[in-house]
Amino acid sequence: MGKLDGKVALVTGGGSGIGRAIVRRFIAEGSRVAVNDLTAERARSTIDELGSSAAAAHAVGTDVSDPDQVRSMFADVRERFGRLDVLVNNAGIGESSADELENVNRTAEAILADMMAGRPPAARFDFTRHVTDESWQRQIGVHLSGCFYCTREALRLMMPQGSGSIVNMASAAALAGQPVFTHYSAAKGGIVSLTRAIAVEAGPFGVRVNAIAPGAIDTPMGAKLSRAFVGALIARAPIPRRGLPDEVASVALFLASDEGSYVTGQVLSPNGGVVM
Amino acid sequence: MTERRFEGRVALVTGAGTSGIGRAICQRLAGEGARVVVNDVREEDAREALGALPGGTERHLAIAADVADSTSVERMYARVVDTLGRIDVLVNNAAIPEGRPGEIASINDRAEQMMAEAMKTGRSSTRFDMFLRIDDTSWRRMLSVVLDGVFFNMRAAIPRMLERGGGAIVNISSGAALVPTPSLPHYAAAKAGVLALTRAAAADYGSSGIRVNAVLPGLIDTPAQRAGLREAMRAVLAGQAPLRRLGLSEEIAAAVAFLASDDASYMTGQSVEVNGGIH
Repeated sequence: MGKLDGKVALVTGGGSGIGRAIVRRFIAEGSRVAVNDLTAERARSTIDELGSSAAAAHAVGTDVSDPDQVRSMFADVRERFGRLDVLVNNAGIGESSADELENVNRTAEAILADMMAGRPPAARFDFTRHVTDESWQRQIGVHLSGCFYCTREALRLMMPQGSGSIVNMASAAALAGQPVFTHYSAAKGGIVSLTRAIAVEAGPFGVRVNAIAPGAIDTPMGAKLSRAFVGALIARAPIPRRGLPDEVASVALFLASDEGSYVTGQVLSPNGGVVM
Repeated sequence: MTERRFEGRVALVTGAGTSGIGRAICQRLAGEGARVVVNDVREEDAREALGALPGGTERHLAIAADVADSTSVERMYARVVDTLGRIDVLVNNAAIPEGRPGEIASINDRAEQMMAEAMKTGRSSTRFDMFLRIDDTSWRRMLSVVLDGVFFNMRAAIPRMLERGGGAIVNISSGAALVPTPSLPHYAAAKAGVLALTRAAAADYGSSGIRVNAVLPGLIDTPAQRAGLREAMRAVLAGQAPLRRLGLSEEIAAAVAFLASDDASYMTGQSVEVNGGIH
């Protein structure tokens, strides 16, 4: 008996990392899952990896930052499954461009070198001045608008059903200041506010909305960050290691399933104790 | 529930004899395979709660101990390790609703007066005035059970968890720790102190394999709640939560089990509110 027996879930950004771990866990708990990613191929790669256990899974290629594409994705889900019990708004991006990433990694290494040599660090991140309009809009588009578009469509199914659970992937970067990827932090902070607002609105309809704010998780997205950057993130962590995608998936399961039936409007942060 | 996340583990739940939430936590942990130590001040209360657990006295242990008394707490842990060999999970649930008898009743009177005034005129000038009415005895009693109790149990459990390479502590705090609670300032202060203990221990023992988190219940439908809060007030408060109902003890137990289990292996120092969205 699984915790999501008979349920239908849609997981955005399910092609890799945390999203893939959530799809795997949900299927193991008896859910039928629509796996979304930017392309159907990416979504299918998760389903292929899971093999026969994923027989009930369905791949959808959709850019969640495009409201028209989101509408057709939900039409597809409704046609195929007839209902939606769980939405996980997980689709996300790290950096907007290779330049941004390279600058952050280079500065992090310079700061680490100074600190190892016992010098106060001279390098500074100087991130925000170099963020382009396109970079800002892409962060807000994928994270915040994507979350909103999918949530709006999900509510159109869940509110008439009188039940449903929405889990939004925020970030520990939304809870504590970070000197880099400030556009990412802002977009994730918007997701936290969206979570609280819609939780209050949707609660009387029997729909719960919560967020997860992961810390440093070992994913393909995180792998692009230099060791210096990640090392600095986890150096002072009470649990001194990166988290695993499965350790976020278990939180998503708690919130998505009836285990979290009196939990709404909350932000749970599996971050190893970096942010308390 | 076929899941058995606590197979082979020993869990101690304080104040579990009479409390609805404490009993539900024991049921849940025992149902998932834990051997449970049911603690309460009175032996017969602890025994009665134990009697309801699957496996009964064969698997579980009832121990009377006053959490506000450090000697009695220390003795309890010595017995747990003697009898069951280990301690993996500690749930600090023991609490009292008032510092001295009669406090809750008088709070209810004022709350009803406030509600009546507010319904008539849209506002109320009545105050709880607890800062004038909590005497030294009430203040100390509240702090000693709710805050000392958590500290004494953590101090006794942590070294025994370290011996076995880790463990999980879940402290029951309260929404009152975060939102203004003029009716119960002593309770709110003690419960906020519990959050500070949670974070401090999480920061220090995380690298040694002990995770420490808090659950903050909102308004939960328990026998104590029904006895303490009058019907009209409960209906108003239930309606204020976005989920439009009071919570169940089992819903607190589910959150406690989650945090105590390996499902929350990357969570420490966190406060999880189970409150129907009221905050």
